[in-house]
Amino acid sequence: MITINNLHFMYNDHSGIKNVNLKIEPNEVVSLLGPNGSGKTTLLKSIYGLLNPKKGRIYLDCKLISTIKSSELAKIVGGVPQDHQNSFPYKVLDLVVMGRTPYLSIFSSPLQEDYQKGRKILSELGISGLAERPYTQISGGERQLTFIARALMQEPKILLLDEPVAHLDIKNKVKVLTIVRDIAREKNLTVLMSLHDPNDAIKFSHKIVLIKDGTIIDYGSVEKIIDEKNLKKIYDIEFDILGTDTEKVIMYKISTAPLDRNETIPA
Amino acid sequence: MNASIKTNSFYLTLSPFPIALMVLFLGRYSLTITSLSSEDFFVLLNIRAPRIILCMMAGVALSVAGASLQSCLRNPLVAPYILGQSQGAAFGAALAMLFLPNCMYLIPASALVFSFIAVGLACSLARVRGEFSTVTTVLSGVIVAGVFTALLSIIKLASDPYRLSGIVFWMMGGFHKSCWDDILMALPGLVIGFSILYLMRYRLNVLSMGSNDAKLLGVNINRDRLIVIALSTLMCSSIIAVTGIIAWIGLIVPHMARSLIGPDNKYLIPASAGLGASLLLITDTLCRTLTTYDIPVSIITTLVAAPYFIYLLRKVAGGWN
Ligand SMILES: Nc1ncnc2c1ncn2[C@@H]1O[C@H](COP(=O)(O)OP(=O)(O)O)[C@@H](O)[C@H]1O
Ligand SMILES: [Mg+2]
Repeated sequence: MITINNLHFMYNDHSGIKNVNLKIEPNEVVSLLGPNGSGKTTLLKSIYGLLNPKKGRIYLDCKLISTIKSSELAKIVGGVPQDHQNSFPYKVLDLVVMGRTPYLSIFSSPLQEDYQKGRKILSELGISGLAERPYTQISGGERQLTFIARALMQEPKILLLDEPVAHLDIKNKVKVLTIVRDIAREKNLTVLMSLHDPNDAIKFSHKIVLIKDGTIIDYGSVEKIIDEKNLKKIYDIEFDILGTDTEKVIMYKISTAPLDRNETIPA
Repeated sequence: MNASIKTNSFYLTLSPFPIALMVLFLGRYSLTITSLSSEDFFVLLNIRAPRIILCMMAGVALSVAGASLQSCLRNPLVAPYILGQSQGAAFGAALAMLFLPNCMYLIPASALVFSFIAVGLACSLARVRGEFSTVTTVLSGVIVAGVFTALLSIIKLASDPYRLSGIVFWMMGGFHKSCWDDILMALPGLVIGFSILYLMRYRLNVLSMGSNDAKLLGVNINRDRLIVIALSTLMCSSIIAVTGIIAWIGLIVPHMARSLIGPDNKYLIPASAGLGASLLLITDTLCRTLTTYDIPVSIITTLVAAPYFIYLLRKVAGGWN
């Protein structure tokens, strides 16, 4: 579904991604793990078509991305950007319906049935109650779901999520990731999402990409990828892996002595 | 909620018509509807009516241009003159006053042409590496406006006092000289700009989500931004070419309309048009009735709008929700 060959993208200061090769099969949920600045957003933006890499090729659904018209691309790839800054206070339903834009000409507006579709997706994601609220005044979790709903309105084959759970509490994190997993299965979506907690990647994805300093360190099934060595390579700290082989739990270790809770705090 | 947006926007859109009927009979030359002499008819038809119609057109043009540009560049501080439209027009008008034969069509024509030259320059400056961002657009506008202001100063230096006062008056836009010819000159630009921008109302909503989001949704953002900029320039410059520069309306009115009916351009564009026409009509009526002197309308719009804008800045304190 997504094939990337020898992709390079450099910003002016020579950071970016280098020599990325990746093949993601249809209907897979793939997590992208890597520290801040490792190139996750850059990779996702290249697949969205937001960046124009100088070298390398990206094929979506066997079509070379640079040959796909932008409105056609938006029917294949839907996504939630990492860095959306609030715009004018549109209602959540209106924001979600904007996902129909790739199907509209420059002079046309969405129809009644598009709004019905929007309401249906909101209820599938369990956020019907938000429909009339300004999207600028909802919580982080509600906002992620709202943007996921907008991406689903594009009826894409590929869903790209850039740190969809970065600022969420555990309850909302589990809610969002569960919904992503279920929706992917229901709608036959291929999902590529960047995450920070390897435990989330283990629970919610088929495969994991490890990325550091703009290059892919390893890629494969959860069982194959998650081990102490790989994690240390990525995050530069030690990890303990507990649990069973099918249900791994990752704990990080710290090199300094743990906090002494009986210590008196100097005045 | 939705119903009240619809009714509010309906009333705002139609508001200029009753106001226009009222102010038609207000003025220093007193008229009563019941007994109209032939001189009264002359005043109504050739002085009041064109002035009121041009005034409404200006309110529509500037407010809709402002609303469209604010959406297109997703910045509520954007005014219709952001790309040097007014400075270009002022330079063009002054150039025509100084060098071209004295013909009533040449000044507006030259103002319109130079307004487009200014915007064209600003747009080509704003395209850095094929990208067309809000920041570079605004900065390019500042640069181009500065250059045209300097060029205008040169013309002013070269002018005799009589022409200099003409230039100064032109810059303080107003409706004191309005006639049917002005309306005919400004109408095509207004009609074309307004109709196409209104057709693009949904695209404007998408553009207002910012360039990344718009691109994600498959929008060709550079092309669409250029179209919006060209149309709003056509609309606002056609008007200021005949009236001179009218300040503040295009910045303030979309704000007021947005706070009343929300950001959806389907309602925002007609409501801004109506509110802009009404406000400018009221302001212009004050200008011609308050004193024995016909005050240029820009002076009043600025004096009224600046405090409102300060209030707005205080109220929103950085966020625009
Ligand atoms: N717009 C930009 N201009 C210059 N460098 C950038 C830009 N965006 C990201 N980078 C650099 O590229 C590298 C990868 O960034 P990014 O893809 O955002 O990482 P991640 O999403 O994994 O945190 C970092 O070193 C970052 O500093
Ligand atoms: Mg990132």
